Amino acid sequence: MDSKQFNTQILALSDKLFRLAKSILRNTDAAQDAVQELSMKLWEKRDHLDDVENIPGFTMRAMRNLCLDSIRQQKDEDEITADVEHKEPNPHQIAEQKDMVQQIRALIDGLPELQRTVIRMRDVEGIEIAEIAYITSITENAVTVNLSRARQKIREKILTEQKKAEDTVWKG
Amino acid sequence: MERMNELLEKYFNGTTDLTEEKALKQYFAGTNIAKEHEPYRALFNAFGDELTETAINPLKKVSPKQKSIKRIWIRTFAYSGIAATILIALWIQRPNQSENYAIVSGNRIEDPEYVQEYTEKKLNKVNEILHNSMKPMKSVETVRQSLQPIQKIVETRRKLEQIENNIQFK
Repeated sequence: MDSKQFNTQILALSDKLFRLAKSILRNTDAAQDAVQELSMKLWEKRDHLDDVENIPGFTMRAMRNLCLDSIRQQKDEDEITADVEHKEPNPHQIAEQKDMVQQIRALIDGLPELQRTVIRMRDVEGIEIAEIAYITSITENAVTVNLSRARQKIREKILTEQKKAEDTVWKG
Repeated sequence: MERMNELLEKYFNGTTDLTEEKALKQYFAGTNIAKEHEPYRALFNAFGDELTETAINPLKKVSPKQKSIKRIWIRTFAYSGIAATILIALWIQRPNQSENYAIVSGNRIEDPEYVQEYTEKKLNKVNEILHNSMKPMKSVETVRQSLQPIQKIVETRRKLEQIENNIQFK
């Protein structure tokens, strides 16, 4: 792969890669660094990229793996488990969000890594289930299950917040 | 309304396809949203909001001149190899010319027999010229030998004069 192909095929994905990295790492600067690191690694191995059939999928998959490695390096096993299983903002944090859109984003950030990655790939990036399965190295069925769970959790939170708001108005 | 209820149920069950999800996004981006669907407006708006996020420092485009040192070395070796191959090919394909030749009266002569015969003739001629040139030298030698007795007379005369002088003083 020459520099022209690298620019059109890899660098064109930089925004998608950034959003994916930010979703996993939940940190803008760390996401930016991860994208830069991945681009350097891919540039060094650009001669091997000619053999890759699905460049976008391959690159997104590499981005996710790099981010997960980064998390593993920073945390011990117990913390990783805690992060992957569940880490959602408390009601006070949610209440502090200025508007509902920010609350939704905070809710998604509170999902386990796989669920928030899957829901963002699907609902933000519009990626096919089969492609998400390739990127996340799980089956299509597992993607659908995680997607459904993520959406259901968000729905429950939305309805809970809606009910709280209605109760407040009713009491007021 | 009924259609949207069905789509929302499918959506939360994770069974909608991309076309159906696009229809939901368009519905929630509009202004004609049913009151019971209103709580989900923020959800779909959040997805659109996230899509506008871009890399803060977009990756610098790779210039064709930006090559690794390793690649430069590989290219250097490759070009050197090509140059060496061309030189060797030129050397092998060069015109088959003899290195033994002589210039005779401005003409290049490559026939060795002719050149040898011509050279012998010329050397004989030089030898003859030298021989003739040395003849006067032989005559000079003869004169020198014939003058040797005269030289002895001169020496004898000098000795006699010395003796004569000695006698006069005494």
